[in-house]
Amino acid sequence: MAMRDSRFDRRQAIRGLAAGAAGLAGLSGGRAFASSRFQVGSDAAPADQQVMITSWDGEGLKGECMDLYEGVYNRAGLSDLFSEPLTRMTKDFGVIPGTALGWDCSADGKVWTFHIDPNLKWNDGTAVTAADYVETFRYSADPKHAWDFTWYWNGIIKNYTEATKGTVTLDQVGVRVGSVPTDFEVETVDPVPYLPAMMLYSWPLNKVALNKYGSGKYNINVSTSVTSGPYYLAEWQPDRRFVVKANPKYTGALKPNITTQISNVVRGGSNFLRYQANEVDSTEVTSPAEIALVNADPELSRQFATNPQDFRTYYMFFDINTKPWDNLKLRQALAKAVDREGIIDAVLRPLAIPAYSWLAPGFPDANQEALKPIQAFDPAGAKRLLAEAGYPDGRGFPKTTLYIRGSAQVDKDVCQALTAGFKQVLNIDLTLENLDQPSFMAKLNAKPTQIAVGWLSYGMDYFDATNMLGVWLSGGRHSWKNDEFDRLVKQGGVMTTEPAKRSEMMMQAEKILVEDCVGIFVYHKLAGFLYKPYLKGEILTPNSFGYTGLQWPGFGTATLAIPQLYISNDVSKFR
Amino acid sequence: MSGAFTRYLAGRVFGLLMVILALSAVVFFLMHQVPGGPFTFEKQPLPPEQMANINRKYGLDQPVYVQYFKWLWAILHFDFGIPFQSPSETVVSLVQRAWPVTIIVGVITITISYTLGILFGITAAVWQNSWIDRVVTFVATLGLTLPSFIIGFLLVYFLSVKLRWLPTGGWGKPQQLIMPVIAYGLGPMAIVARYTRASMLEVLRSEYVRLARARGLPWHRVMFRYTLRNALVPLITVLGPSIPDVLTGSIFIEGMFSIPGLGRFFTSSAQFRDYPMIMAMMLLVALLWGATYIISDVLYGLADPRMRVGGEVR
Repeated sequence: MAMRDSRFDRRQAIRGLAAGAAGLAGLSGGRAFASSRFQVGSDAAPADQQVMITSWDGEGLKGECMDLYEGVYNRAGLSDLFSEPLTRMTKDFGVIPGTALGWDCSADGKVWTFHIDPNLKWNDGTAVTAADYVETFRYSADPKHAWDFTWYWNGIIKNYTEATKGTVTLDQVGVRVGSVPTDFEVETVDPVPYLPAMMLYSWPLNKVALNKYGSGKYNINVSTSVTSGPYYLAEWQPDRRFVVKANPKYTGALKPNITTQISNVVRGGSNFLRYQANEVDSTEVTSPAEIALVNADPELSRQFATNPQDFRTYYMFFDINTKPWDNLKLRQALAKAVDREGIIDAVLRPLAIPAYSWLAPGFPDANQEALKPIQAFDPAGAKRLLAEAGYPDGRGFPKTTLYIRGSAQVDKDVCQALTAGFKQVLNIDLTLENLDQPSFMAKLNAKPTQIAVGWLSYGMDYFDATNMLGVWLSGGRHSWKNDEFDRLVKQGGVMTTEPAKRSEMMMQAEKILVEDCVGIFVYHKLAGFLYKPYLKGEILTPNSFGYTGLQWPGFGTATLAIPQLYISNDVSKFR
Repeated sequence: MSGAFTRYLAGRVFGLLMVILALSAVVFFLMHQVPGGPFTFEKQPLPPEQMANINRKYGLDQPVYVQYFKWLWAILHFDFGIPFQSPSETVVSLVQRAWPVTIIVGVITITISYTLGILFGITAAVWQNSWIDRVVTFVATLGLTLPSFIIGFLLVYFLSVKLRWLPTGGWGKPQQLIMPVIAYGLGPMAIVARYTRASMLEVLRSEYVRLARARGLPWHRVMFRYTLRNALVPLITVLGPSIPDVLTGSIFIEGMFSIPGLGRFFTSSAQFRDYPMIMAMMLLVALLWGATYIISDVLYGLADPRMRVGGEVR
């Protein structure tokens, strides 16, 4: 296939990171990466053994579709393999071209043109064009479709929010075909220098199929499914399993080595046991008990990899409109009473690093070391602040409940450690209460919020500080309101020039957040994965930050994992 | 069938339908009072207009009483809606595919566990205080005290992970049934074994059995005609109520062994606010239990003339 000559190397990755993620695009960028760069080893198993088996947790409101723009939370296993996004992410978190060979932006920073590879084809023989992307984005804004992730483009794409409300027509949404059929133009409300990073979520549906069937659900039926991605749908049984196979008509850059992917549907049980029984090739290790077993087993330890995935931060938050949490000294006292290292040692290691601020190390504009002293463990300081807040030695401290979202054992363990620490350092008692997710989020989102003190986490959707910091903007997830914070994030977010100043504004915003102790940031999650020894490839090797395993967003078309992963001959010892 | 019996049966069925109608209203209104809905997402809150779009799409934008009457009208036409947990099918088709799986596991479990339980109980009673009795008692105690998910975990660990004899779970192959049936059946088997043993011992000590022995009747005739037949009657009390339980599946067993049955929907429907499935599960359980009690009462009447009024079953 004709693609621009290019090779993947670290410098390019770093350039991609700088250009796409940190918003320095210079308003143009991107170069394609030839899949021929990624050769499998001589130890590769024959094609008929290139079968990867995983499990998919089908518990919940899932299994409705296979495409992000049909539904985010209700997708099934092995989704988003039937088309490709405009951009991708390298394992070093650099944003690089996907189906777009490159992109340009107008002088005012508001009109972006993504140049789609003209060689891309759907498996019905028609070309992948900008019209597919336009139709998909319009479909996502359609009030009748009621897409569950509209917030992602709200206030970003021109008229998108208005279209979801039905106040403008769908053809007024700021997406259109450019001067040639493969130019996809996006008009934004304000300059959005991180738009290429956001386009990681831009898998198009097939325009013809979408119009013919009225929704993206044509991709859950083998006979109607259409693909331009590296795989096609071979089996769709939401109660049993999903199977995709290598698309023989694929013309893109992610030529797969794995010829078949099987995703077995599970609802409960232990994936760790399934992994040990050689029934799945990879699994996430989540519980402290499983971590202990991995640590105790040299063979499992060799198969274990950790990385930050979506740079998730776990934190305790306060509704500062509720007494006594409007008292800054009280919040500071609690923040300084948290022995993060001790909690991680006792409960989480090696699946966490201590958090003293919101943005995890490695994330754009993260500034952990500089911010660390603000919430660092300081028992004496915590006691003093508590006394100054009006509760000397915990006397008079009101009855307080710390609400936990869900019932994950790890959350219970960490919160028990937190409350034990508060008791030990400050002599105050907090009661724990678990709420299932719908109840918790309903109470949290109520106006005014019904949760004064809670335990939560948040992980990124796109690699820019505005994404994570946006959680704390007024009117967002929490009741906290700080005009200066809002100004810094909003004004910094639209800056297309002066990257250093933009970065500085993001850091200032985060400092305000940390100093105000509206959240006690406890740990950044590291996801732990087991990979069978026969899973091999460059994508599993450590990245430039030292993290191992498949980085976020995993084995799909938004990364370079597909051409870089293969199954070696060793598989015959296991299957 | 006489007119009195028909009237009695019609009255019971009508009563059951009224109970279900009342129950459906209570459950419907209560489930909508629980905080959070099926589309309360974990990330950023959606603006009200966009949340309204979703609610409108799924018919959740109308007052609850309107939704209830619409649901009532729909089920009269055998339309139970679309399950939020599996929106690519209807509630009816979900139940049609998942319930038989649960029933197969349940019927095999109950058949094997009751058969073995009775055999073990008889053996333990006949050879009371022997090593056989002690082994049966030990196994029965294990079955009674160990929860099914612990037994399941141990089975998976030893038979799948360590010995690689059996798959950890799944559906479609006979070997995938072995561990679920053992884990699910050990408890009922233990109960039946203990009941049978106790009942057998009681009958064996009764005067009419001693008399039969004294008259020199053959051992097998005393055992099967006089002892066993009477000893097994109390088991009906145990067996009856367990049928709806088994027919609605076990969340632990189906989850642990990845069995695509109905059992897990009983908890997940509530957990994820899957309103159509909550209502369907409620109807299913109410109908099963209601029908079981009606059938039991009828059977009691048939089996025991003292239960009849005016010569009719009541």
